[in-house]
Amino acid sequence: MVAVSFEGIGKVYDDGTTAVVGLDLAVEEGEFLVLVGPSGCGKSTTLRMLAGLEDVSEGVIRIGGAVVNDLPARARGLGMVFQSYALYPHMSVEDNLTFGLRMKPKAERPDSEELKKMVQETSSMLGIDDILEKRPRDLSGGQRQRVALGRALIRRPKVLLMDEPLSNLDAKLRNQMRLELRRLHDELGTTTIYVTHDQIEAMTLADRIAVMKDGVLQQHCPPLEAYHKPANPFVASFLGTPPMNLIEGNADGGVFSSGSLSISLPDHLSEIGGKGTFGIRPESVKVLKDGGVEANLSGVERLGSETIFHLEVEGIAIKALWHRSGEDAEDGESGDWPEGKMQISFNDPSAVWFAQ
Amino acid sequence: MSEDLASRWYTPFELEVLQKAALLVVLCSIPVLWVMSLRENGELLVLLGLVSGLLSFRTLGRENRDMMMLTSAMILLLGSLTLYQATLRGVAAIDIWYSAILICSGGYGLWSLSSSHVSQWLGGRLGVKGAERGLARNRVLRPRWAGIFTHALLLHFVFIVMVPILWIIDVSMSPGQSASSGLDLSTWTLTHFSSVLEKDDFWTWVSNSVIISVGTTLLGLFLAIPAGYAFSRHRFSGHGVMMFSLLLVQMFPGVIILVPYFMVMKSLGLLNSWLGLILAYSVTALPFCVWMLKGWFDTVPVDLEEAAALDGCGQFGIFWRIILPLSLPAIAVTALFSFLAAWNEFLLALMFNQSPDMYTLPVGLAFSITQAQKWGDFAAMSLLVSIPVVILFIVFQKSLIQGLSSGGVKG
Repeated sequence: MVAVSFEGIGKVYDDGTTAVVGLDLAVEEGEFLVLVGPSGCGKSTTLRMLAGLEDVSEGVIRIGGAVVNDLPARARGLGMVFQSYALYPHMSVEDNLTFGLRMKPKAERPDSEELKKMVQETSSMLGIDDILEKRPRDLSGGQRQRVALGRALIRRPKVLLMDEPLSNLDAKLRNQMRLELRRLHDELGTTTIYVTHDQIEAMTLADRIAVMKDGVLQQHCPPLEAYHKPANPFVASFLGTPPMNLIEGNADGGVFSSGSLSISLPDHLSEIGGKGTFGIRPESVKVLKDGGVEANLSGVERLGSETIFHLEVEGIAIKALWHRSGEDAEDGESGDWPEGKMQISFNDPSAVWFAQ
Repeated sequence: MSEDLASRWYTPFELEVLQKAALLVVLCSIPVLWVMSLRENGELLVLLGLVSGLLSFRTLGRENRDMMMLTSAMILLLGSLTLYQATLRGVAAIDIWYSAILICSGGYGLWSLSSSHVSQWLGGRLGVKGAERGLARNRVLRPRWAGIFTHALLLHFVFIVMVPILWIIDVSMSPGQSASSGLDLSTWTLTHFSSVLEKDDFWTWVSNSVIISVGTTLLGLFLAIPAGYAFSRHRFSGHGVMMFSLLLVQMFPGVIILVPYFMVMKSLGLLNSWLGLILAYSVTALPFCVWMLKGWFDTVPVDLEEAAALDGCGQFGIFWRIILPLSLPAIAVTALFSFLAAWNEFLLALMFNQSPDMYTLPVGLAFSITQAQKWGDFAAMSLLVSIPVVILFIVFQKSLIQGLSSGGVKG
């Protein structure tokens, strides 16, 4: 188990594109870090720089305290799972698994008996012991995924890197593998860095997440903290489905106004003032029978366990999420609201304020 | 609506097949016309066949019933005439062939036009029900009947391709040294083959050809594989220009470089040597090989190389353990191409290696027939020369298809 740190990392490609800017990020021993962000945010580039597949333009990367900037990929002792799995098509599953071990310098290379034991151990851990003789093309997507994982794990890597490993699986398998990945990490305790654009993967897998945008780190903290206390409007809107409602406007004396909308702020925000963005998660928007702000209902999505209301308040689009609970749910599902109008309230202790 | 649809789409399959038969007459008339003009007889009849075939091909339709009957009858008559004319001066295979085509298609035309389905359709007496029933009948019968004429047409092309080869086989097996083919299987003998195989010259040429071809293949691969890999994976200054100039070399006919090559080889002292030809052949085959291999390497995902890098391979290890094993089909194709290019090449070999003990097989073959007109021996020898090629193609058939098809298309 080793720690990884990025110190002032920047990456500029040969064609002048800037991928990563001034990244400072410390990953602790045994931590499961998820790098998350929209495509093109530099998360994959960051991972590839750590793996040694891209040169570092600026700054220092340390693995276990040692600077690795100029070490070739093969000398860094990392294991990586690729999005495409990148299994060697001309080798059996067993040869795929042991390839890395067999490539080691003679002194460190395990003998054939050790090799067998390691294959046995890894394959039974991943449930692939019955397909060792097969070629990758004869495997299903889920099996390939496991083999790719096994190939990265069998060498006991200092750090396990994963680049969108689940994105080629179907939804059901993805959910299953997500749980399994977390279980494996808890068992092995390998420091893991995981790149994804999927916020659900990020939320469920990570000890801490690092949200990136346009090559800049936005927030680095445990996932629930990022959900409840987003550092900026981008993080707020990136995490959560449907995303947080964000309204730009002015706050003054406990009252928030934006255009013709004027609402009283929740108690914990009564001290704020000036320009900024008011944010409230859809599940915190209260839907009332009466006594709130009047909102026009422009659409309803009924998902069974929850209902999403698409509303419009003074020209501002607001989403409200209503979890099925007790008798209220009946009303929400019938959609029996007077002439498409609803009463909503923004008074919730989870509301946030981003000063400009 | 359904009334319109069924009536609009229904044509009896007999007429569709007739269209194919007419096409057959037209296509077959062309080579036959050519052969007959060599024999100075019957061109007129063939021309008539061509015209009537075209005519019935053009006039298929409800309104032209009489025209269609007439041309069918004309084709039938032409067939009989051809056959009759042939009997006057002795029947040759080509006469039977051509008159059979005409008689079959003409007869088929008359028969199908007078069948009840067709005459009902031609008379326009079919209702919607009739058209619908006709469509159902077509679906069942069309593939069977159309298949017959399609195959007849295709067999003609196969035959045209096969004739020279069959001829050569016949000449090589017939006694005597005549080049004309009699196709008398009872007299077939292997004496020509044994007389060729007994000649020391032949074995000298074989060893020259084998050494030069294998040398060319090895040198060509040795140069083309790394070059193709570099062009595929790396971007360097002059990348585009160099790729294009490789193509440019291919655009000029080989004769242009003949004289400069000769001067170069002469000044290097490589005339009458294996090395001279090996060098010349591998260089001329190189552009194709490099492009071919580059195309293949482009389809090998970079992810695999990166995975191998993380698994502990260096640049050479990646190439040797991952890229090469995955590229065997493309390498087989490239090797085959270089080998064949060297094995069959004539002009450079003729110019460079002028002493008889340095002849390659094609050159030896050419000289053996200019010295004495022994066509039987010549045919046997040319068959022997092509045997390695045939064997190579059979052995590499599978990877050949794989390599050629994956070279351009992403797999």
